[in-house]
Formats: sequence, C-alpha cells, structure tokens
Amino acid sequence: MAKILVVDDSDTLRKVVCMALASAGYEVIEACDGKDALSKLNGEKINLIISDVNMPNMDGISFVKEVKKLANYKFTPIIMLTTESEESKKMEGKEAGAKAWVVKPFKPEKMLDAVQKLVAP
Amino acid sequence: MAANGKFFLSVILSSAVLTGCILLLSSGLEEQSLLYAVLIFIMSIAAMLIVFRTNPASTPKLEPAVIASKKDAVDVQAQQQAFQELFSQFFPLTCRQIESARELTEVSIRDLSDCFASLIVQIEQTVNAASGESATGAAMSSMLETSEQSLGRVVQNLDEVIKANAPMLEKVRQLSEYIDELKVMANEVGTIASQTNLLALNASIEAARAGDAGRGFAVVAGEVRELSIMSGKTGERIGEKVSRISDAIRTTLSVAETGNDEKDKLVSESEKTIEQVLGGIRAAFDSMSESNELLKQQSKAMMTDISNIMVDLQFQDRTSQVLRQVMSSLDYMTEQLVNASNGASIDIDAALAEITKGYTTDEQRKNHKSETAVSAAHKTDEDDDLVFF
Repeated sequence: MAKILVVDDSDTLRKVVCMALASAGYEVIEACDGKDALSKLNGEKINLIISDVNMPNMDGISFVKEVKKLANYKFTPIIMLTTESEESKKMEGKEAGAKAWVVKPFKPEKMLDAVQKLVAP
Repeated sequence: MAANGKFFLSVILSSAVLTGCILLLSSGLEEQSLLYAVLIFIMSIAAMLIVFRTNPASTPKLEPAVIASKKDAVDVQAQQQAFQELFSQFFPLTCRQIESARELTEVSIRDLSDCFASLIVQIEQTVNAASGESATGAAMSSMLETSEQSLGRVVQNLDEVIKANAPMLEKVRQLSEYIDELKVMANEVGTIASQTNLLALNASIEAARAGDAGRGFAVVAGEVRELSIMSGKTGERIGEKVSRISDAIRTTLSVAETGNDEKDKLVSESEKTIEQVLGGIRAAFDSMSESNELLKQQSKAMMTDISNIMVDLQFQDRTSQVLRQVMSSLDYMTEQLVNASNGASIDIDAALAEITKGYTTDEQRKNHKSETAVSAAHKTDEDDDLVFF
C-alpha cells in the first residue's frame, strides 16, 4: 500500500485530503507545516508528498527544496496543493522540484486523478 | 479654529496699534493727520480691549500672538496622543476580534469536517455490507435455482417410478386373462372326467354282458371309472384354486391401480407445492435484492453530496488566509500610523506593495486592483486548477 505525506496548516484541508486518499486505498501521514513534515520523513518510506504553499514555520516551496536535498526523497513526487493560482508561484513550485500544482478548493476525484498518475495505491 | 482666529486677530490688532503710534509720531502739527492718527489709535485700543475682554484667562503681561500659538501647539500634541492611543488600541482590538471569529469558524468547520468524514465512513461500510449481502443474495439465488432443478428431478423420478408400475400392472392384467383360460381348462378337465366316467360305466355294462370273458375288462373299466372320478375331483379343485387366484389377482390389480392414481395425484400436488414454496422464496429474494440495490444507489448519492460539501468546506481555509492577511495589514498600518504621528512620512506606494506581499488568492489581488473579484466558489471545471510539470 502506497504511503502519502499530507502537509497543510489547515486541519479541515488535511481532513478532506486524507479522507479522499484513504477511500482510494492509500495510507496517509499528516504534518501541519514544512518543519513538521521534514521530521516525519525520518524513518518513513513515503511514496508521494502533497504540500500546501503558505504555511507557518516553513512554507511549502522551502519544504520542497529541502526534500530535494534528501538522498532518500530526491525522486519522490510532490504535488503542491494551494490557494495560489499565479503563474509566477507555479513556476517557483516547478523550479523547486514539484511535479504538479492543484488549486484549492479541489474536487476529491480530481486530486485522486493527479495522485494516481504519479503513484498507484 | 478658535485659536487660529484669535491669533490672526491679535496680529491684526497689534499691527493697528503699531501703525497708530507711528502715524501719531510722524503727523507733526497738521490737524487732519493728527485727527486720523488719534482716531486709528483710539479704535485700536478699543478693539484690543474687546479682544481681551472675550479672553479673560489670558495673561495680560504676554503678547496675544504668543499665547495663541502656544495653545495650538498643545492642541496638536493632544490630538497626536489621541491618534496614537487610537492606533495602538483600536487596530489590535479589531485584529483580536477578527482572529476570534476566524478561530471560531475554523473550529466549527473542523468539527463539521469530522462529522462528514465519519458519515462517509459509515455510508461506505453500509454500501460494502449491502454489496456483501448482494453477493450472498446472488449465491442464494443460484442455490435456489439448483434446488429447483434438484426438486424437479426428484418429482420426475417419482413420476418415472409410478410409470414403471404400468408394465407390471399390464402383466398382472394378462395373468388375470390366463387364469380365465385356466378356469375354462379346469371345466374342460371336469367335462372330460365326466365323459370318461360315462364311458367307463358303458364299458362296465358291456363287460358284464360279456360274462367271464369280460371280467378282466370290467376291472379295467372300474379302474378307469375311478380315475375319471378322481380326474373330475381334481378338475374341480383346480377350478376352485384358479377362482381363488383369480380373485386375489383382481383384488391386487384393483388395489395397485387405485394406489397408482393416488400416487399420481400426490406427485402432482408435491410438484405444485414445491413450485409455490420456491416461487415464494424467489419473490422474497427479488424484493430483498431490489431494496439492497435502492440502498446502494441512495448511499452513493449521499456520498456524492457529502463529497461536494467537503469541497465547500475547503473555503474555510481560503477565508482564513484572507482574514490573516487583513490582520497582518492592520498590524502594519498601525505601525505606519504611529511612526507618522511621530513625524515620519508615509510612503503609500511602499505600504500598498508591502500589503500585496501577503496575498495568497486571486480574489485578494483583484480586490486590490478594485476589480470585481470572482469567487472561487464559482470556479468551473474548465478552470486551470490542475497542472502537471
């Protein structure tokens, strides 16, 4: 079973994402910001990461850059899930190493579609 | 305003007194000039007296213009202090109120999300259970069909068993006919015996007529007569036995035929009963399957509705971000206004640029440009909300 790390400072959003992923058969781990997420990566085999962009402590773009420095997670696909829809922000995400950009609010089936294209359950 | 008016009036009056003095000194002895100078001087003194009467608290020893400017300075300082108080209290208070409302919404929406998540899990379990029951129903339906076929075969076998009796009954009927023939034959034996007896009697008469020569023949005739009597009795016994056997066979045939009819009826009734029972069970299964299907459809519709609600609940995150940015802007503006009240200048463009940095949604940017913000709630599927790099 594929394991996904969901990073978002909003409890509601994490709940919605986790519910959609769990119903499709994925195992989910939650983190409330970039810093918390980095600590959760230790000792876990994560197959995919879904991260918000605007978060306290460590924002999503900085988090992606940090993840790409880790040998074990260099090639782990990352989806950015954010309210931001500006092209400049998307480019920042792409340059940092993200694989996809999903704008909130999202339909669960659309999110699952994106996830399934990157990793099977 | 009053302070400024008095200040200007004081300046005018001071100038008038000064002009009156200069004219008085420079007039010499000319009558008209002296008269004008005296008039201006008197009017100035009168005006000054009026001014000082309307402001009795002022210090007569000080110049009126100095007093007025000092008062204005005190007023402006008080105003600055009032503004500083306002900035340092009003904006943080507003921020606290916004944060309180934001937290309240966040907690409520989180609880709502929990409830809906729990509902979805329960509905999923119901759908899975219904699917499981559907599988069980399908298995039972298949079992019902097998049972129907098996029971059909049992009825068919019974029917065949009953039909298998028919040749036997036919043989018994034929046997009955043979017995009739045996009866005739037994009668014929009796007739032969009777005729033999008559023949033996005639032979005895003829032997007696022959005298001694016929004595031996008379003995033979006597023996034949005895044999004919015995044959006659045997024929009678055969007839009796055949009659009894015939009766027994007829009775057996009758009983067998009656039993066969009853068995036919019983098999037919069993067949009908089995059909009725299986039909009832099938109807119950069909009804159960229909209810199950309806339950599954309704559950799926409910899950779709809840899924849509979950999409709407995500607006809490969006609203929360907008409110956080508003609070951040208010904090920034408080700082700027306090600095301005202390004499620093405000760079409006720089301030707006700073506020813009906190924007995280299109609505905020469009509102900033005074455009009509399109709510994310009205986004369509065509919107570019999923991009792969």
